[in-house]
Amino acid sequence: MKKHLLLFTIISIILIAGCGKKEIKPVAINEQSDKCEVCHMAVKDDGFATELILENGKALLFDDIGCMYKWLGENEGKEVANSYVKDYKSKEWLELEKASFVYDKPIKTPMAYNVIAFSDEKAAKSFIEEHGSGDLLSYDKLQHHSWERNQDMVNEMKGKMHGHGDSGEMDKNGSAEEHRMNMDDSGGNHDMDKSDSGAKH
Amino acid sequence: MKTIMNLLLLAGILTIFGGKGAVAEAETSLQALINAVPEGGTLTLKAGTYEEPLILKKPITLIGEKGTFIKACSDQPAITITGKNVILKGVSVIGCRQIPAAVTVNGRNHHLEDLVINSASIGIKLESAVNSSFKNIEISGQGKENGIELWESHQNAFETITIVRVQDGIYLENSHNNTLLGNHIKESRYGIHVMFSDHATIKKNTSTRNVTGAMVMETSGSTIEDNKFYGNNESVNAQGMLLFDVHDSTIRDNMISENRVGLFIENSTGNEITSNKITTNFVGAQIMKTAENAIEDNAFIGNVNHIQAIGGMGGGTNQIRHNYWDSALKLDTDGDGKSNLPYQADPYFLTLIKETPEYQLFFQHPGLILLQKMLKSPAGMVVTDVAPQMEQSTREPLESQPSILTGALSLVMISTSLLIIFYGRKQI
Amino acid sequence: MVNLWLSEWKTMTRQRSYYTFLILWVIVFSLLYLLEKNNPNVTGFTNTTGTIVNILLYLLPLFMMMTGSFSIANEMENGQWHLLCTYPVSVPAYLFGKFFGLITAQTVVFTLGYGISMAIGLVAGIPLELNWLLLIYFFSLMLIIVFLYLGMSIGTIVNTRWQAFTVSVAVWFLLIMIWPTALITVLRLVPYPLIEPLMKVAMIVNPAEFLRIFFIVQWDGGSIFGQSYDSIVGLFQSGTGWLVLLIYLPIYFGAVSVIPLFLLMRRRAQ
Repeated sequence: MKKHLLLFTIISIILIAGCGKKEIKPVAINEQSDKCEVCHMAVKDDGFATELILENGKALLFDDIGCMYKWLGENEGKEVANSYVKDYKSKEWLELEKASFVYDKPIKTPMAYNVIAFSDEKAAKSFIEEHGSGDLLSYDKLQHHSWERNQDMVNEMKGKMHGHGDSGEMDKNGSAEEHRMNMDDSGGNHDMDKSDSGAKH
Repeated sequence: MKTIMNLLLLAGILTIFGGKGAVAEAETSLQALINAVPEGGTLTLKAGTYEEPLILKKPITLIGEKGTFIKACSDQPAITITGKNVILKGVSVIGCRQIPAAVTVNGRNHHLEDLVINSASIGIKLESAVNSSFKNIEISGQGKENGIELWESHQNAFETITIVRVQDGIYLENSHNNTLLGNHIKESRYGIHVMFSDHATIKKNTSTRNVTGAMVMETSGSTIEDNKFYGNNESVNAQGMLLFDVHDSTIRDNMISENRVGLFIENSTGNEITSNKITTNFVGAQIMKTAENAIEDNAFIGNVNHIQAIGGMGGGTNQIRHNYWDSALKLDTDGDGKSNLPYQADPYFLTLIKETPEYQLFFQHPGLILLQKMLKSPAGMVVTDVAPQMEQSTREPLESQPSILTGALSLVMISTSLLIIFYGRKQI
Repeated sequence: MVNLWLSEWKTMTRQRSYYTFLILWVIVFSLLYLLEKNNPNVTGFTNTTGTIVNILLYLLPLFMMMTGSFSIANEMENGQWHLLCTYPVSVPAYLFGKFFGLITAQTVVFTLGYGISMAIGLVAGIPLELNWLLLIYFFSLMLIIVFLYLGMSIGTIVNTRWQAFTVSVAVWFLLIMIWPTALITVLRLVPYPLIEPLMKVAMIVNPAEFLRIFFIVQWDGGSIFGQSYDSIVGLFQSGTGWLVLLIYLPIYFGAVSVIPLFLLMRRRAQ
């Protein structure tokens, strides 16, 4: 009798497991306790959050599309079942592959990757019109997006003489000239330059 | 004739009334008074409540008498400061949710002192503000917005500011060379939140009962010294101080106590983490993907788990030595004050919960002894302090007050149980 | 039942082995307190608390299960049970009478040992916080009660004292020592989304786990268990937390009681 019971439990577990696997759905964000898998900041239920569902059913949350791509870059072996982004407008989940994206330096995102997602190209275009500037990116283009802040960080790791935060600052408000100036400048008056450039804005 | 006279009279009355109206308006419009103050002049506000948004754009001094309130509920900040050399003192600001910030600051060389800000909006927002100082300010919010926000604002100083119930106490983004001294932040999300901001000086601050005491991210060349981060342990993501992408910074003499995780370090290189007191946290330090940091002369005391660390970054390692570990076996044969027995911590548990966070339920489980044997990490992964400190360098005297209640309880326990045993043995 | 309770209690006080427990508790707690003399504050969930909780989890369940199982197995072995069967005593009365007798005996000796250690700690000038001490005390009492009952249930299954001993040790090893390892091994076989609910079920099934987690939450250490258990921690922390414990224990006893009552009745019928 005991053996039957054991067999029954095992079968039922397998059955439950089989049923649970079929559907992949994005999980809701819990602002109290969810944090970004990469940068450890709290994930807000806003227009910037993204999510990966792994093959095994584990959900990973990110506070910025850039953080998600950073994770994908670092975990190439992991099998991802599906990925979702929040529509900047409606703040609803969208499938990453079906979304359109806008990249623009003045867009403030939690980790300063400056990319936001929209449900379709029309919505993205109308945002660019309203906003005045911005690059429209399709899903395919997004795969080749440089994640510039990220790129600068890599440079910075290679040559540690350059201040790290520069990249973020320059991404957001600096002109290319200023950027170059700061990167070349590695001496003692480094800080002065930075604060002066800040004051001009 | 008579009608002309009447008309003239009427005109006169009108003029008088009209004139009076203008004067009255000038009296209630604080902005007009402010505009009338010459550069370098001072305006003292009488106690009372002023319900209009103010703009200070000239180098003037505005001082409020005790009991001066400025209320704002429009789409304007209660006080907007621009230009340079504005001094604002002794004012209480009450704001609503919809205003962009209670006080916005832009420009240079301003000085704000003795303010009380109570607003559901951002407390003070600095945009491209330089060289300004902020002192003795009390900010309280409703947990949704930041207390003080800095955007592209450099070389500012914040001193003795108290912040309660906001999102992030002091938030710095792209703001360099700022100084935070002796501030006190509690019951918020992140006490101090540094993003993309270099050369910050964070000294003698206290951050307690927040989700995280100090969230230091994307910075280099900063100094974090003599702060107290304690009691940040309520949230499942709580930590005393988090360092993420922090480089070439100094973290020294901080007291990090009673947090969920005391010191959390990831993606960071070249930092000097020395002489910190990391005590009675659930996990003392959690370190991942870091290299070339010096972790020296810290005291790890009374943490449920002292340190969990997963290997270096890019093949690099951290220099971990001369720390005091209260639970370590120590033996000093050559009398140099350092133990000959290395202190080692196997990161198997961190590896386990990183893959499956649900297993955090096994934290400090009595059966982990067996699990550790099974999941033993390779030797290179194990955190090793090659020469732990024999004695704690800075030991504070213990205040032990034998509690009367505890004594009474122990007496009650002893006497009651003795009585029952006596009764049990006697009667048959 | 009351007679059984009192007689069990009285036989216990006359056994010399009973007082070895006293010595054990005094030594264990005094040492634990004295070792922590240099630590800053012994209040919340610190390494002192963690160490004490673990030592209690090593010692109490094992000793209590052995005491409980021996007390029944002994009577089976020496024929006292058959003697008792001739009296008009019902099986539940017998079981619970013995149970309450054992509880009285063990809690009294534990209280005495704990009180003495507390006095020693105070004399040695160790700052011990009242609330913290009481929580450790209650944690121990709960362990004593739960595992005495589990031990008695084991006693009804086995035939000899030797069997009682081996089964007790095996159960202790499963519930305390190998629990995380076993669970992790089993949970490797199930898909990821099932891990969380199964971990929660496992926590309810194993009373040692339930009590350990419940009390760590009372020491304000609940956040260390992570996001998955946030709601459970919140429940334990709230005012209804103790109520949950009060509901859990009777249900647990009820579930465990099925086996001994059934077996004893069958044995009696034989």
